[in-house]
Amino acid sequence: MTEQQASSRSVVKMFTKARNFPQLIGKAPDGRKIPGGPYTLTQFVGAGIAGGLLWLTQSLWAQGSVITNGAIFLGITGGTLWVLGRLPQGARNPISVVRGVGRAATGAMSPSKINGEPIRIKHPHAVLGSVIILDTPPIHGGAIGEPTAARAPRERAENAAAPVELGNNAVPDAPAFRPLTQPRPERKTVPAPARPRADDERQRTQSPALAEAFDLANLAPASSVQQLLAMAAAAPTPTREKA
Amino acid sequence: MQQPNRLVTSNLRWTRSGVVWADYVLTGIPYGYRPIEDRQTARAMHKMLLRALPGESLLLSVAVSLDPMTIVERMERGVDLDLHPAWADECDATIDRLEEIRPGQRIYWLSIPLANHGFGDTIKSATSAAWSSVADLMGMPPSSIPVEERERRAAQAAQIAAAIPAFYDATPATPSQMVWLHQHALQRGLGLDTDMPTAMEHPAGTARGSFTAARLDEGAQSDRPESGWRAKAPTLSRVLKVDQPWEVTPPPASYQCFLVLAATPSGGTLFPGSEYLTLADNLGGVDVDWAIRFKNSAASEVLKKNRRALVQMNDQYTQREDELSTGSVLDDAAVALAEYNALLEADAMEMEVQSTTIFCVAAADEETAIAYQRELAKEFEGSTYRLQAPIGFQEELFWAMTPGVPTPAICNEFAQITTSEHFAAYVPVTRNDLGDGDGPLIALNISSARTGVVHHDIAKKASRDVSGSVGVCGNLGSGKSGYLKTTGNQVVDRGGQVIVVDRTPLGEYALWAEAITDAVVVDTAAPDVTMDPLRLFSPARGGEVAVSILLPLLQLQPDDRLGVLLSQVLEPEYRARFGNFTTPGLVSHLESECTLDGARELAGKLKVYATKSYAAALFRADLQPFNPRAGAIVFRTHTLELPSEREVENEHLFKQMSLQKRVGRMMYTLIAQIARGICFADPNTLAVFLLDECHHLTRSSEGVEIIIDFIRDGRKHDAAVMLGSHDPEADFGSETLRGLIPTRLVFRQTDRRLAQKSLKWLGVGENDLDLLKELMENTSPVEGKDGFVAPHRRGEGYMRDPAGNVGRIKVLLPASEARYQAASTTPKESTTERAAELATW
Repeated sequence: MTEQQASSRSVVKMFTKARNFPQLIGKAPDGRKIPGGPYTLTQFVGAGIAGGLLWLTQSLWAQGSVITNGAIFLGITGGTLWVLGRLPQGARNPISVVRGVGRAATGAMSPSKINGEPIRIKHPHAVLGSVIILDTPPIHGGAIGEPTAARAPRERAENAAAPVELGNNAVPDAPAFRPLTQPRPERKTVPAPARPRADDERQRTQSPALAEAFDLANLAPASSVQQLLAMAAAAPTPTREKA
Repeated sequence: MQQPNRLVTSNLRWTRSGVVWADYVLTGIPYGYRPIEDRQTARAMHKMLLRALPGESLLLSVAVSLDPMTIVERMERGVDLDLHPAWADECDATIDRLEEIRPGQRIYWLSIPLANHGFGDTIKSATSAAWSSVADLMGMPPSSIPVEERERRAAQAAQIAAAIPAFYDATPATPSQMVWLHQHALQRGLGLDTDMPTAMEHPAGTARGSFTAARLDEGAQSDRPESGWRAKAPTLSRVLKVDQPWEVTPPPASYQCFLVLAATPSGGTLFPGSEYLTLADNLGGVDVDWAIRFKNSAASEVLKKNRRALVQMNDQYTQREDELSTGSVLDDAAVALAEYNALLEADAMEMEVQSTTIFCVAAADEETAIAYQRELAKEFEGSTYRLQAPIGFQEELFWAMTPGVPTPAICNEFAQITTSEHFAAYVPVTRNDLGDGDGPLIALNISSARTGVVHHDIAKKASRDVSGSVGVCGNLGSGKSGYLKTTGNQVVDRGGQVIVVDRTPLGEYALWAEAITDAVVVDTAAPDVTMDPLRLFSPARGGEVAVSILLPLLQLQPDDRLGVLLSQVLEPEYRARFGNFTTPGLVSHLESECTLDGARELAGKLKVYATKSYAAALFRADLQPFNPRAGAIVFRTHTLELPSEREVENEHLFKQMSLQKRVGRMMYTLIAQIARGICFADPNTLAVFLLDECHHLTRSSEGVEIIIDFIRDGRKHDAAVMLGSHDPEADFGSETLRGLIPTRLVFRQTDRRLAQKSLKWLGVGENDLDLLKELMENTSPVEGKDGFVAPHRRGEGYMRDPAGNVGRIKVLLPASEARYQAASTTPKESTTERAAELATW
């Protein structure tokens, strides 16, 4: 490296530690030294909570003599103090770490959410119900025969799992690539394994098949009750089937 | 958590938290291989950017794989593929190749929450946000934002944008780009990204539904088996699964891992070299997105905080005074605090930059994502930066990387503070782009492990008022001729014309030209066609050219007796009177018909050459002129001898020069004149004069003049010159010529002196030792005893484009098989490229 380059180099640093340094407590407010100190705030608070809890729940554990009880009390409090003293200083806030672990552990129990809404997955169950299928002779002017024209305006299908509209502009239209009139030849290579491509799936609009299914579900009923009755009367033998 | 956007219009988002965010797309500052002065400018730009962003902001960098179709579309732009089927084939073959390479790019996104001014303002936006949530809950249609409010916010955003340095070209993001970004966040690691919509497409607003819903599953709990104890136990995995299982054709789930920068080198780092974010590009084949949550505060505020810290610190010294030593931690902090305060006090404009850097790696399955996460952490560890993936906070970090979301609490735990001057040295917003926006694909940009593409359109340069000329230098077998042939090939396939001077005894370029098009090969040793200027050019121009080549050949002065005579007989009117004789005819005319004084003497002088076999291309009468419109015209000159520089400069040596050398010198001038004539004939067709081993022409001052002319005027005639050589200083003629070539490529140079010259010519500073070493030892290195360049390392080099960007490239040979065979200089599989080029000598 030339001198000119060396002089143009400069040291760059973060000054985080200038403000984030470990806070320890070694003295009481009156200036007396706290035995065994200094302690970190975590130790102080943690041991305080442990001691407080033990004190409040004496009735549960304090069964022995005063000496035993005292030993248990001091042992547990001291143990907490010692364990918390092992935590690395200047690292993350221990409460936040505990929260994170707690969240990871309990996350398994809460249902997953979409847009803040929890989804509850129903248990698998059979779809039951009996249906009568009639073998009908063709009917003049039959409304059943012409489904598309007589479709009722369909209702928006409720889909509990996906209360979202799929915007068409989510994926911009594929640009018109080339003025070449011949079709592009088949690609030879297989896509790289790490990142599967899905050219065809990009236009993620609702598939026509599904729309069709919705429409079928909402098909206009046969034109009139009379017709149905007439059909029932004309039926040779009703077939009963169990689904 | 819900997606944050409530209403999106132009580049503004009204969010659920009540804050309005303004989004901008930034362009990186050229960096990489730029000389140190430029890098310092880039740092200064970053300092200005940071100071322009008071308060909170989010800087996002999105790694996207470029769709091969997009790249090929750029190659096809402006070319009628029906007329140029060869180019269509090449483009098709390129798709397959790009599928394997998967080049990518980085997009920089800046999102700024707009501050509320005053209490009333805050209340108003909070109520508005709260009302929208209530309205949502009650199923009411979403209400719009009043026009005045929109205009006010737009003005507020414009004010901030105006302070961003113009180098970043801060473009307001469009709603469709925001939707694209949202979609990208849901599909990280799947390689499903489309190109980001340009600002021109879909400029209008967008529906909230466009921000597709997704299931965020921290720890991938939904992947647990359905039964057994595992079904109930938490996975404790540091991964966020993002999927949309309710879709009709559900896209594959994206497993994302988030890491936060937890520690930086304690002693600091040196700038340049401190650009830690470029480490994210070092994982080959892994797309790493990153985001920085900034919180910048003015010095006065910070000094207050620092004062508090000082009080605390003093207290700590008291608290710990009974310890034997207060430990280096407290002392270090005291030193840092003192330095920090000094920096803030020294510069009144200085700011504190509080930053939290978040990285995201993603894959289509959990194991791979976790593996990437480890790899990335290891990569940073190598440079003593520490990354952490906090358990239980993956979803929060996902949101931390999303514009419009208030900074999650976890970010503050990892916040790093420094001054804007120091943070700017991390230069996050950079780019290594090279070449043009479209045109033929000539190389891959390998300046970083994130491979980019380099387009170079010679034809388009002219319309942009830049010369399209290219200079290439490098060792033997470093990939020079491969590059020249590939580019020549592209010119021909796109409807242009190449004129080549082939010095090689094997006729390397002649064979190549014949393989790719209906080439005309003019062999000066055994000509099939004539090079007679009187037949190739118009009578007037032909006469001029003939005089200009014959005078030096006969060593005549233009104003002496025979010189004047020669000019006289080559006048178009004079020639017209004698049946427009040609150069061979000139000799017999002077001998018999001509009555002018000295005609016989001149005929005698001419006959010295006219009978020589090596001058046959000019003096043989039975040859036909060639088709000047052929796709490729190759002049084979391997038999021509040329005078050395000393012979040209030294008068007595010049007079004793052998006939071969005189003819050789004349032939080169003639070739250059013919090339010029052909290339400049049609200003609508690109014509390239391709000269490998160009020292043959540039050794004479006339040759240099011709090329300088070519470059200067070529721009107006859609003509360019491509020069290839070994030594940029000695072989590229004069300083002027070197300076006139805007596009420069340097391939491997193993010799130190040559390498230094090359780097100087490239404009990156010849004294950059690291770069010098890289060029000499790690650019298409010849490895092993046999001097073999591994196939995947061939064609590496450096490129400087007309805009002055410099980067490391890997030149691509043609993609289609036939073209590849023609351009590859390796004649047999067993021999190396190096040996192949040696064999041509």
